[in-house]
Amino acid sequence: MNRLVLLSTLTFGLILFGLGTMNRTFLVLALPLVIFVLTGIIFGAQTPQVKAERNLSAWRVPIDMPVTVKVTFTNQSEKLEQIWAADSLPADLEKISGETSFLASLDPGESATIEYTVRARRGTYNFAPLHASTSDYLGIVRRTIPLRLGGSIAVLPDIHRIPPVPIHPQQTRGYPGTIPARLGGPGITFFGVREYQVGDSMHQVNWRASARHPYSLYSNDFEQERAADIGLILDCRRESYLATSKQSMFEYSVTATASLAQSFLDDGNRVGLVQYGQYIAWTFPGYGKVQRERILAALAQAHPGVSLVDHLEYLPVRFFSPRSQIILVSPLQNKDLEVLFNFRSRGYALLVISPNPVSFEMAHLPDQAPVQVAGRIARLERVVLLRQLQQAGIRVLDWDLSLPFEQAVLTLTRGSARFAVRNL
Amino acid sequence: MKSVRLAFIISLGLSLACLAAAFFNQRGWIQTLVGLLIGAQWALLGWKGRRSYSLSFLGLLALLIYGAVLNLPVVWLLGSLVSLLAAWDLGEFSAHLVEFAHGQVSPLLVRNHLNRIFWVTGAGFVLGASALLIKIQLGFEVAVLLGLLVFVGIAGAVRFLRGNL
Repeated sequence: MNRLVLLSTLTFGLILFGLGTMNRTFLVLALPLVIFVLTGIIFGAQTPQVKAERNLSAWRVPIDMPVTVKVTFTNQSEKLEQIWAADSLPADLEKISGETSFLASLDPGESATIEYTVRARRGTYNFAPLHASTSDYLGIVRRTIPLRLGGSIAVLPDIHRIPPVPIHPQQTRGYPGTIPARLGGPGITFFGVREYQVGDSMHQVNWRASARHPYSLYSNDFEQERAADIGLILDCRRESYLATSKQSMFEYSVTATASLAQSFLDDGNRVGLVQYGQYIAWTFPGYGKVQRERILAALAQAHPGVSLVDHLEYLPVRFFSPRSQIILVSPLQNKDLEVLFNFRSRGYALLVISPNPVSFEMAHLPDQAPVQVAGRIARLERVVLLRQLQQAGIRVLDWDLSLPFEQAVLTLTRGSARFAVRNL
Repeated sequence: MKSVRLAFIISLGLSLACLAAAFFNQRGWIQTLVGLLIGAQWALLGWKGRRSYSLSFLGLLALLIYGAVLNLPVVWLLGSLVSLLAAWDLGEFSAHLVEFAHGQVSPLLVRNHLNRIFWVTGAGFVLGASALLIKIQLGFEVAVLLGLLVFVGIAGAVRFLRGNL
């Protein structure tokens, strides 16, 4: 109950009753209340002006890196007899040390600071608007000051340094890069033999072929390596993923997507990202470090959601350049096959990085005979699913989550994707 | 924080003692018992730092007003009221401190608060006791006029506060 209202009502009632009944006792009893109320009004009358500032030691951090938050309140008015404020932490932000609230008196120009350290899992955490409250010592006149103080912490996904992922899109861009362009020209990898052209270096001449044709010279041709357009699709449909209390398959997918984005951007490619879940969120294709930051920021906010459309057919195909490389990171569902076949038929080179839900679940189940049988059936179903993709010319990496992503990617580098599937 | 709780218990005890003394003269055992029960419940919750002061405060205040209607000795009632106000304030302050138990609390603030409550309640008691020594004979018309003045004054104060707060 508001103290000022309560005490004023009591004072008013006692005085009126005392005057009405001509009983001095009531008037005498009203006097301490009058003193109480007047003291509050005198000492709490001035309008408080408080400036607040929130400083974060970092606003983009990797997972589990502590962030120190410092909030400073400065009194810009007369003396504030009591001021208190509590910084409410966003959910899932874990406080490690320090204090999130304070209660103090502030002289004019004096400051008070609260400092605490937090850490969090991947995500973007926005601080709620902060309010400070002031009053006189007796709490008679209370005021709440809204402090327009924002702030957010983005906890970026883990990124693993992975070996180069071999991809072969039909279409590449005009800039030099690391992706084989299916075109002869300057390069390292042997591409073919052609007739000698003026300007060819002597080192390029294929003497063995030229010796077979006495009146002609032949030169070795090498495959050009260029930058490519790469579209990453992260499946964010909740029904695609399994999760335990401690682990979620989705986090593995996010880590894989972030690692792939970093790897391709470092090689000079143009990379875009589509998150397909509750809604479709896209990061337009781009190059370099800025694009990497954009993608990581998008991945920091990624979370699995219940999709309004439960299969992939609403994926925006035009988002990707024609005949470019698409990499889908998804545990895959049976109903996704048709859409992936359509992508392939439109000329896109498709690579599916598929965290294996069967091995993930088996790792969390008891080692019993019925479980083993069920696991074997599920594994067979998955092999059939992945074989269908391979038969359509789609490369698949069946990622056993007990292996680090960089190790799983090695199977793509060493041999064919089919090899990878058969052995995992 | 312990000093605030201690001051709260002392104030409440003093208030209950004055109230009991006032009713004791009129052999008001039931009122004394009710007052002690309310006070005990308030003390228990206040010691734990829980907010229940408004109802207990109003209950004891109602007993005080009842005592004033019965024309009990004013000095005891005045002493009880002043201590009651102090206990009410300290109870809330104690609960406020509990909310900030894991935060920063300036020790100077606690000391200043205790000083302020001491001086305000002291001044209230002295002013009330001084008023007991003054006797003014008022006619009914003057009383009504004074009542109107009080009404207008408080209404103005409320308007001022609503405009400023």
